Amino acid sequence: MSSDFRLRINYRKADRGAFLSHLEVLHTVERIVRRAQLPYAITQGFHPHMKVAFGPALSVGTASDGEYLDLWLSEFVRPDIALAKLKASAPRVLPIERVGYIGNKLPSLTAAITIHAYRAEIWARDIEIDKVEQSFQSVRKSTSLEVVQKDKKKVFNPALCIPKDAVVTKNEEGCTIDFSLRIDQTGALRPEILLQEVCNRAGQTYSHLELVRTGLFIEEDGVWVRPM
Amino acid sequence: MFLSRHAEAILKAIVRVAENNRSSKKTDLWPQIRPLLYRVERPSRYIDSEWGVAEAQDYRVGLCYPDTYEVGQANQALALLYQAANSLDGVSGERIFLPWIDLSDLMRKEDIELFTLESFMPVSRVDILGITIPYELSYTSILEVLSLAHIPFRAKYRDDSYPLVIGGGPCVFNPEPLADFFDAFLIGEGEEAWKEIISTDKTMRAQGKTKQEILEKLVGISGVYVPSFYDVSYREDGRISTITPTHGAPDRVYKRVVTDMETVAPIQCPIVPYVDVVHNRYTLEILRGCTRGCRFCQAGMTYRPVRERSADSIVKNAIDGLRDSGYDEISLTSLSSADHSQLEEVVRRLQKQFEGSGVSVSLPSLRVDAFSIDMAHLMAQGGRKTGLTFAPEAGSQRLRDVINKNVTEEQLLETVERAFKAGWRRIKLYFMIGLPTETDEDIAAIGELAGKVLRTAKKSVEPGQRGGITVGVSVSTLVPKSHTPFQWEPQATDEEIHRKQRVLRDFMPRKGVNLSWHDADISFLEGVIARGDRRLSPVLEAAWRNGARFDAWSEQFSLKRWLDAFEECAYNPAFTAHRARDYDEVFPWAHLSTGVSDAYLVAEAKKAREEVLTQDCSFDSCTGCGACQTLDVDIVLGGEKRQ
Ligand code: SF4
Repeated sequence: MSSDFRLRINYRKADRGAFLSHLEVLHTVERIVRRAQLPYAITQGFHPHMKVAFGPALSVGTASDGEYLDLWLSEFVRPDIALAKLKASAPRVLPIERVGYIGNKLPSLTAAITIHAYRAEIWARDIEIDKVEQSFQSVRKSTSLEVVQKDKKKVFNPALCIPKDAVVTKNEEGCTIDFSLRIDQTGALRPEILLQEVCNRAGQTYSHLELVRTGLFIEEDGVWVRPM
Repeated sequence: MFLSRHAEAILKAIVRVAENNRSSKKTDLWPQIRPLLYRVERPSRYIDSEWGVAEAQDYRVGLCYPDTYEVGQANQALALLYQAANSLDGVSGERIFLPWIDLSDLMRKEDIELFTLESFMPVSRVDILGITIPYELSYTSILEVLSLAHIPFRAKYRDDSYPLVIGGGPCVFNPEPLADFFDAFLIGEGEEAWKEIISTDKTMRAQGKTKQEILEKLVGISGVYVPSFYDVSYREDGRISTITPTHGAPDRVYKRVVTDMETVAPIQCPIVPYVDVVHNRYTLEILRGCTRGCRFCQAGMTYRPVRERSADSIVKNAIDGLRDSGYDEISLTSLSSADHSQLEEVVRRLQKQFEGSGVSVSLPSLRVDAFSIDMAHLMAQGGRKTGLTFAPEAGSQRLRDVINKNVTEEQLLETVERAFKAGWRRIKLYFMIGLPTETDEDIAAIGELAGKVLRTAKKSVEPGQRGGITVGVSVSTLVPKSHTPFQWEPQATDEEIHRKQRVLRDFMPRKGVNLSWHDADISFLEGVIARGDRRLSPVLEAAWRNGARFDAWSEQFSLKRWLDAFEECAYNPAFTAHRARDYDEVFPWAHLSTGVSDAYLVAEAKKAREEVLTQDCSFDSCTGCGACQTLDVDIVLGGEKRQ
């Protein structure tokens, strides 16, 4: 319905929320909206449901500092009021951060967002971060990267899908790696698979890896901008 | 290997007692659990932090459902007891579920104790531990809970530093196989009694009273049964001779009953799980009890009499519950929701309220024998068209009279015709085999009835649509249960059941019927446990040592573990399952009462043999079971006491 109001919502997958699956996040958000008693729009059809569109999915075990979804309302609600109601209705592991109306004609979140930024914590006390850094650079410079994802062989072009070099910093448990991925229609290189490949090539092993998505960006004329 | 697993648990428990210090109870196990969650299936069942969880208070009440989160979190009784605990000052509930095998095994390997969800504290450190006993096949899972929690199995080996372990739920009407493992059982409905138990324990613990002193006080609470206060003696032939109360315990413990449903709040702000649990919707109990009087049904005897919530209260609670939880579906539950005297009014009002919001109203299953198709239609308007189920239970009218299943073939076929004319395309029929007086003709009649249903269904739709019609036939085995008119009956042996299944297959229509069975091995074991006595405890332990846990999950179940356990303990399961009892036999549960008199059960057993029906006292006059008088409670219909 063109008369609907498209409310963009910025939320986090915080702390233990990392262990939620995408489907669990979806269901939880719908319940948050119903608890908030916002006048949400309903899709037409045999099984009418809440009109809502999510940004790119996150896998189980990955936390996030900034996720987005679009919710269509059938009536205008002041953004500060909508935000207060949503905040009060969200469990603490999925806190709602900001809301704002956006144009109905703008492309969907999944179509617009191409850059996914991550931070990885790697548990490996004797890891050599120079080697990891160099290995990341060399993977990035190669023209083709073959990996196995979900039991399937896939080939990616690192020059396209890894937009920047990683920043690797040493910490007590091992190291932190900040990096980003560009996701397009040809498929998504999984962050944990890339890191595994990087560490393998560097001859480095780790006992445990934890990921946080630190940002999602839309590319506008070469500049990365946040979706709201 | 399993022996050492148990020995190890006991040893650890002993060490732990030695260093026990109650101030350390708030140990947070989350940092140890967290890394394991990256290695297990569906980790979100272990993270707590759902909408609706309670803040931890000083006195912590452990509430355990001995199955996975998905099954336990959906359990309404547990949610009600959680709410009851949290309503008390300074008291909070801590949920405990049995981690799935992947996490349990990792926890054993890493030596991490079973944790509560709200505080991630060791289960052994809660102040009181309530464990639901939902079905016979959960008994080894209860032992698995205790083992993972490093709590000694036998109550007599647990000193005052351990929480009291209290059992409740559907199986407590014969809790004897578990008698050695629990400090007390709460027989009957828990909302009120649970609060009294908690308050007593809290006050007396604060006064430094011993576990024994607390238990002696608890027997004064109506519905509380302390098994260690009863001595059981046996005859040489294996039957029970006497059950003698000690420590001032009553001769007979009567079930606790809520006299007015309006005084106990339904689940108000429920915990809303992240994981897709078994019933992922807001559930509202609209009535308690069912007096249709099916002679095999334990719930029908143990939840008497019928007490309905009023239409106004249901509608109000439904609106509040949906708003507070954010669910998009409400289920109106009970043993037999279609029997509610104001159901049509309730459904109409709720549908009007939720029109256009995407919220749907459902009943757990549309049991058509108590249900007009107009009503079914009404339900379907609010959302999906749920499958229709019909439970004739027996194929022939004669056998339906034996079990007091008050439906006729004409009623069934007429309903099928109307349902299929109204657009339904699937129906499921439930039957039982192994019923008293059953002959091969009765078995053949199940096949014939299924055939008639199929033909009626096909006749009721356009020729073009006949191909898509299926009739599901689900056949279970009668497991005679305590406190029912069939408690004296022998359970059919496996060989008999397999033979009956073959007969049934021969008489089933070849096409258009989906036939499914309950596993005869599982029914056999259920039967042994359902009527077992205290001598079964070592068998449960042995089965657990042999690796039994999650027995209710058919892929985890192994009869061999149990047969080995019976042999190890020189226990003859056939004596419990397949033996006919005399009317004067002392049952293991003789000292526990549902309020229904023994004389009534004997009379019902005799009427079964005579093929005589008994009416439903909720719609007709009192049939004299004794529950209302003994428990001082009345039938309540539409919120009004029936005069
Ligand atoms: S005492 Fe009478 S009215 Fe009450 S449940 Fe029994 S049969 Fe029904």
